[in-house]
Amino acid sequence: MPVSPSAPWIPLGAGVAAILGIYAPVVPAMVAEWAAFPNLSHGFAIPFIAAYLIWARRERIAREALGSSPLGLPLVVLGLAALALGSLGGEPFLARVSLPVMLLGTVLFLAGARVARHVWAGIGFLLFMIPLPYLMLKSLTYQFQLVDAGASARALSWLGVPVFQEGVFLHLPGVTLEVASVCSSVPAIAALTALGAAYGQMRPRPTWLRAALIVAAAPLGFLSNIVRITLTAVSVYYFGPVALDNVIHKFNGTTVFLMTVVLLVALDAVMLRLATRHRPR
Amino acid sequence: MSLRGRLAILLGLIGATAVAIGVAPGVREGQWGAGLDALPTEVAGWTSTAGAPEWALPVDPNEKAAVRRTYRRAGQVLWVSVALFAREDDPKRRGSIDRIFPEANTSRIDRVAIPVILNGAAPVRLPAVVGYKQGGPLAVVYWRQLGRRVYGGDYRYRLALMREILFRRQADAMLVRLGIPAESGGALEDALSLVSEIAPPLYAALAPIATSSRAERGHP
Repeated sequence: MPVSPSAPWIPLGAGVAAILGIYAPVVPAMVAEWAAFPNLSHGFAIPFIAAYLIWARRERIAREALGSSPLGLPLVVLGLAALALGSLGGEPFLARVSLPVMLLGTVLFLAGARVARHVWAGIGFLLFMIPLPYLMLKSLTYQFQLVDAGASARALSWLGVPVFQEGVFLHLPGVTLEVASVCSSVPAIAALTALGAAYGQMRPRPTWLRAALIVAAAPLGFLSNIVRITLTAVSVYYFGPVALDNVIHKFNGTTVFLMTVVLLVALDAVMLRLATRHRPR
Repeated sequence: MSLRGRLAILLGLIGATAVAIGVAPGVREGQWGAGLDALPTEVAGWTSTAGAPEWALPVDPNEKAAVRRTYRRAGQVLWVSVALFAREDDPKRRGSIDRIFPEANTSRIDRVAIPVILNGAAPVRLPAVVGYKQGGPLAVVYWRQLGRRVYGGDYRYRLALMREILFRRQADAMLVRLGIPAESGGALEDALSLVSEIAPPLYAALAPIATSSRAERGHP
């Protein structure tokens, strides 16, 4: 009887389906957090980008012969243990972070290292959808609020805007602005780092260039947020508090985010050209 | 091993995990046999009245029960809040770290740790969150209790809570907060020094509440 070429993939599909089944109770609360907190809303895009990263390599995956890696089973056991501990111990982060571990372990166990080589980036990208534990996020956010306020105050001084920084407050003549938690650089850095990681995987690049794009995304995200806060403060200084309520302020974050994406793409183009020029012949 | 064999192992492991999660006994809610009226009205020369300002010690909607008192002594004032939280295994019922100390209109928040001997044994480092507001700094010193065990650090508490949930299937906790306005006690260091004076007798007075929930289940 002829065997369908897709037959070996059916067990892998069954394994992934079983994983999705056991993680079904874990996902809804995470999705609710993406919806509730604007800082985490990029989480909605992550599974689709991860799926695309794997789909884009489907032809290379299909060419690989299935095997099994000795690393697979320990990773599966580790992932399931973390899921059980997190679910029974009331620690959702642990349960959530075990999902990519389980998926990678399953691919290694059922399909082998040659297939895993093509899908690990897509699976690893799922880590960006998992919100940090709130304790950690809160502490990190506050530290960035202070740094953002300090950097913005310095930028405002350079621009000739009189400003007095007091912690997270920026006192301008006649008005005080607060660099609140939603204004901190953490969301921009989180979103842009995810974007840098995905962008780096979109087409063939040297590994060092992929790593450079991820590393560069964090300072670019920080810089974009400083520009955003500074522009807001400058507009408030010249036009009054009405500048906080208009469309320019509301879309300020989006504009600066898009500008940063353009910077990231430009940086990639420059580095790619340099890499091509210095490639050994 | 064949692919089918590996799949069978994977499905077996997933099934076993699902069963382990599914059949684990549920976390039960404590009865809190002793009441919060155990919080003394007089302690270490301080006399108190009921209530404490919410701007200093915010109310958490997840509190199952709470008592707040304002203590005064020779022109000094401090506020105490004791709140009981049940079923902290459920993140939706957990005490929020956003409501431990007031953050609104606060220009800067510093964190320091104060070593305090609560039960005559080794000192516990209690976190003091100092918020700088227009009216002067406000320090909120707090600790959490699982039974009689005291946790100052947030991460240590979460680890202990996880252990409590996993091995005792209990998740009832107590949060004790002391709000100290610095201007009433002079310098901030002086204000914080009041903690080592008032915290130990408070801890001793609250011990029956902390232990009542687990004593009923045979975990004295």
